[in-house]
Amino acid sequence: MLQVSELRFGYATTEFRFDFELPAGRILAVTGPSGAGKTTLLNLLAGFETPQSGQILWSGESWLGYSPNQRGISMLFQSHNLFDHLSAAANADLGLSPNRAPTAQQVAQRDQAFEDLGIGGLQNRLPGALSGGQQQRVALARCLISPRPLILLDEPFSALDQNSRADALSALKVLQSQGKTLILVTHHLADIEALGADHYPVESPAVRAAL
Amino acid sequence: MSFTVRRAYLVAGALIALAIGLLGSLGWPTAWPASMWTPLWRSTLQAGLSATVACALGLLMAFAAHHAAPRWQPLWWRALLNTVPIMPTLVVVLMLLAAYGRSGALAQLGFTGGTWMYGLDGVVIAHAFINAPWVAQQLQSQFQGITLERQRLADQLGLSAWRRFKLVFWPLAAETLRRQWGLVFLLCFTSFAVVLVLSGSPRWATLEVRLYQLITLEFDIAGAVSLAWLQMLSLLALMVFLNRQGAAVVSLGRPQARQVRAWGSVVWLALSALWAIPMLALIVRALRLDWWVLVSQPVVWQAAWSSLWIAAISASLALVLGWWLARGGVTRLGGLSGVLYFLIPSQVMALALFLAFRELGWGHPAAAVGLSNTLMCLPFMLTVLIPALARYPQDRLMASLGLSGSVRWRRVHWPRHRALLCWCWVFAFGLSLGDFGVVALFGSQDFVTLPYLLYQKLGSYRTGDAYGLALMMWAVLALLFVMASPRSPNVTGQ
Repeated sequence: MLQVSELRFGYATTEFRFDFELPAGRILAVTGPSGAGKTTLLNLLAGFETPQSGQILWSGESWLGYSPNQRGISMLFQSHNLFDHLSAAANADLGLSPNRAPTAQQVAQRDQAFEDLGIGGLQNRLPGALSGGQQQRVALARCLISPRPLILLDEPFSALDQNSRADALSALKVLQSQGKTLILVTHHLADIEALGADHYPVESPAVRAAL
Repeated sequence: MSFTVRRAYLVAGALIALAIGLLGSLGWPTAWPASMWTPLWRSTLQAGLSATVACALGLLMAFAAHHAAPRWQPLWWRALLNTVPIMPTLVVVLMLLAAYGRSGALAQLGFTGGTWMYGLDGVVIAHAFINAPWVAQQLQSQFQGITLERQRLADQLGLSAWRRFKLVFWPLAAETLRRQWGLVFLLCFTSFAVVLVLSGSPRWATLEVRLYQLITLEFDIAGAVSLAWLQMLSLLALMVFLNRQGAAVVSLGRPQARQVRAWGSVVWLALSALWAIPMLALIVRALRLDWWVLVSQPVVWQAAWSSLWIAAISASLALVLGWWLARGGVTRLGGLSGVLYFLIPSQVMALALFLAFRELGWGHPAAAVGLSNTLMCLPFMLTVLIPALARYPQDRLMASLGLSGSVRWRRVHWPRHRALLCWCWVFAFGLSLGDFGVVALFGSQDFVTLPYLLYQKLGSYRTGDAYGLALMMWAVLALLFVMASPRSPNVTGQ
């Protein structure tokens, strides 16, 4: 269970507030107009931004004092998710053992993840030789084999065409079925339905009265 | 063909003809000196070692600086570091001697390094001191291109410093390093003043220094001509080889914020000290000097005067030629006419001018020094000017607006390129002021420049005076750089 309570973060004239709960194993779709703070929410959860007040709890444990790699979070960006000079497999392996070579068991686990996500056989390709959708699924494979339970996705499929989108969305279902919890920023209401996701509409930020 | 283009062809043609003339007066080699291969091997060895050390240090500097807190790397210090590559080499040599030499600051503090600044190690240290900041600067502009996503991904995966370096920084650095290694190698291959002073010259002469010895000590002109050709052909071969190795650069999106890390600041500070200590040592040594004795020597004023006016004329001439070449957009021919002079090292140039003057029966040393300084600055100036001017091809717009001649200069060129042109001029001025190549051969009782006088003082063990002269040259350059530094950070003046 992820509990976000009274989380506040502000710039000079605007203040974002977030307050929601997400049971483990669910998918949460975050929607809202641009500038409403969707990406800010993900950055706060991941530890790239520090909130002014409020609390982030995972299974009752606070994440606020933790650095980004100590939090149980994998984040998928809109682009630049893979290192261009590493093979798809090597990129995925970073999720398991970023500073060591993977064990045989970890290799088997990674190959299984590639199969499950429909990119089996692409392990030795470099990212440049993969389509945009395949690249994002390699990044998802990295999230899947990593022990981190929560995955944040910032409009990860906005650059994909309709068919790749459908494949990528079914990949998200695979992640969910294997026990991951997902938070997804999206503009497509159809995605929410297709994923059977919970919905968290973020409103425009409060403008500080002090002005 | 427009006037600008015709002018550029004319300048390029004249420069190429002049180069052919110089090589012609050099003539073909007739006799080979007995020991040619030793100096060639020494040139190659010291250049290879120097380039490797400079690149390794530069890489470490750039990586540390990228992670260091901004307050530990103030702008003035970064700017100072960036001017090290164009500091007069003799000034750099004196800085290193003041800090690490036999009676340097460290030796006086009890660290007895003995005479280790002399010989191959001294040469390599000096070359690394000069070139590492340049390499670091090039790498840092590459590192600016690392995206925020990439950095956050590395944070999130919990990559160790080594893995972060290998995965995120190294792929970007590798290409730049390969090209910079080549450039530093070529510069060190023909390095003169550093090797002359620090090699303990007769023992460890490279091609360039051996050439100087053949002319001045042994009067073996035929042997010198052969060595000159050997050096130019090796340089050409190395340049072609190194150019082949280069490939397209990887580039990634927009510059972004960076994460500050404690170790970054520590390593950066430690590295900075390597540059700060010699600079401070030079200042301390020079300030202990009896300045009255130095400035009351007429020869000092004579040297300062000839250095300043020759440098000013050379820099202006090089700037005008560079501007004409770059504006005409004849990039290949213009580039070639620049490269030609990169291939003629200072001692070869000196020898060719010496022979040409002898043939002509006329020649003033100031003309030789000024001409060689102008030509020597050209390749560097063209590498800056050609890309900067090629990016704004608005001749048609200016023509349709009826802007021409002085109006064009007043309204368009000067406001737009002021910072760039000032920087180029100061750069050329600095190179000319500090050059101790051609003047080593042409200097005499009647004709002295500051570097020549400095070398004489060193040779006659008037080291104190030499430190004073070095500080004077450094101060002049520093002043010019402060004056020329653009108000806005953008060098193109946009």
